[in-house]
Amino acid sequence: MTDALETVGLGRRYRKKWGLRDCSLNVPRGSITGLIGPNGAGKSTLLRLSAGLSRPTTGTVSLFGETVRPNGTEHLSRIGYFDQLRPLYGGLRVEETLLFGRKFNSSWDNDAALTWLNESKVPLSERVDRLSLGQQALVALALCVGKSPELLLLDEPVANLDPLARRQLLEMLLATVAERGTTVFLSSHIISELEPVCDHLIILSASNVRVSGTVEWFLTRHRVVTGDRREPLPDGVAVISRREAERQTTLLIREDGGSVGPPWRVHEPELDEIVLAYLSTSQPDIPRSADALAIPQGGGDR
Amino acid sequence: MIWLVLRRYRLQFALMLALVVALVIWMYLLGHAFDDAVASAACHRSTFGCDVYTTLNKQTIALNIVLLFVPCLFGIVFGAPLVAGELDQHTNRLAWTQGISRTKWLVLKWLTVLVVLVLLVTLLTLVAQWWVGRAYEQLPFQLVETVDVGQVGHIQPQFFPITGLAPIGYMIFAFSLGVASGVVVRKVSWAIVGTVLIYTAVALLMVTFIRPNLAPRVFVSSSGQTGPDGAALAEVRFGAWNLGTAYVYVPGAPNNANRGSAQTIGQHCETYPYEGGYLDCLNAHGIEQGTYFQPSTHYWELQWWESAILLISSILLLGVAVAGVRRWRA
Repeated sequence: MTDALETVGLGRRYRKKWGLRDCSLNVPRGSITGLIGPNGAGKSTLLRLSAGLSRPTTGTVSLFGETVRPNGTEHLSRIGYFDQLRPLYGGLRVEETLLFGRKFNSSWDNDAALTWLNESKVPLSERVDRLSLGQQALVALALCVGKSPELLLLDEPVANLDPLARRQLLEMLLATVAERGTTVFLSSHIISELEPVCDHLIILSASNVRVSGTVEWFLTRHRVVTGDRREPLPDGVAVISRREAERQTTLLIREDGGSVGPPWRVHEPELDEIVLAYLSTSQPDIPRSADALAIPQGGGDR
Repeated sequence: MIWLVLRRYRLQFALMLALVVALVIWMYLLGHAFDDAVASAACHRSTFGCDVYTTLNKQTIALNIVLLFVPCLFGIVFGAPLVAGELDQHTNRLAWTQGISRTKWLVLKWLTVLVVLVLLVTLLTLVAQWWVGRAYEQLPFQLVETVDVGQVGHIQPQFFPITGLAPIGYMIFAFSLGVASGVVVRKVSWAIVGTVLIYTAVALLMVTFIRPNLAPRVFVSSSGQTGPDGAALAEVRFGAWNLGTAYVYVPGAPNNANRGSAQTIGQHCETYPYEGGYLDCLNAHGIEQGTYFQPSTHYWELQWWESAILLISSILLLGVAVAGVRRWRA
């Protein structure tokens, strides 16, 4: 089965600086893939390129196996794009915003959008610019839901929301996509926002993919080991990060075939520890992507 | 698209409609004030003792200037923010990820606004056409002579762009210019500055270099007081656009072997005093002085050509805007 989204050697240069460089990744169909990285890592650039909003400087974007053409419209009905800035026509009322969605899309599921807004208790007759940030995010998502897309591209959907609104939004989102089997690709710079909802994770830093894989793979293949620093590590183990104390060393390792046992003391790390290890490491020799490894496609248990 | 444009710009449309209505009322009142002045005995024979003309004249000039700026105003209000406003607010990212192509998005937006603006400008121009006629053309001929011959006729530079087809041409041009500058500079404020500057430059270029040549000019000799085909000078001059004096070779004059430019010779002759050798100098070289005109009969020919030029420029500007929007930057 082709991936919902695949990028090959994707790059985008802004004047002198690259916003994204040589980025190859894939988002499996039906997965909920989180894109994590620090501010400025290129997350928004990647999502804009994926939505066909921005023209790649190098490389290609394919949606469901079809390359996104410059100014093509074929891909538009298959995606729902949520921009980081949540742009909406401020002067329109919420119900008029839905009318905008209906008039601008040949296939439009008004009931789905209405249900979404009713569940989120956004007043339909209110002007969009008088709504709270959280409600504006919900309206922007209602437009995505109404398109009934196969792939949702969500750029920082829960940023700047209070914890309650954040949970409400993510729960509704999960319920909606579970019904239809929609693929979701969402970004954040906070792992705790993504961890409860994602089954795949792509870590982006410094305009490039550091690693990607299922959440399960991250949790089962990574270990924190502590021991004497002169102790050799077995083969098939990659050191992601290293913290040295006087005589002992603490490593976050990835078991690429090998495994570490005594005399090392081993424990299972949390997901945020693993992400942080990847983001803080500067070791160039670790494989950038786990694509070569056998990752179960489709996300496994959802 | 049509719905969205009308809905989003309804405040601006209402304001512009109010402006047009206000101008129509002003023109109506001023037009009738001229009627009354002409009817009054005091003004019938001369401007002497006819102060009302002075007052009306000032108002006429003020209204005239306002009318000249209306197309440019429309260009600023609707053209500059049409794309740049969405880029400022990032709503283009919303519009461009729905199911409609960018070209269709822009062209439909452009057309919808344009239809409304054309209706507004047409209303304004129909009344302006009547008002300009009322303002000066019905004055008794002697009075016209003493007022200022350059104030009579729709073809005069101050009236030409506010009557006939030209206002629609200028409005479409200003609007398209606003849209294109918005796409190029991507900021509403700078698009407004660009639109005003370029529009003003084009309007000045048009009146000084292009419009005088859009139809063949007519030369009227000063000495003979006759125009082509023996037409009386006064007849040609009335309601005509004066393009300035010039020297030409008298047709059928003895052919001088090394004739230079008549203009150069004429300027050389001007170094003599008028009574002491100037006319002899002209005669000796077989040249005469006269004036070039665009007579009032050329009015519609000029209107068609000028509007056509503006319309073609507008379509080119729309092309620039479409190309810019298709360049995939968001």
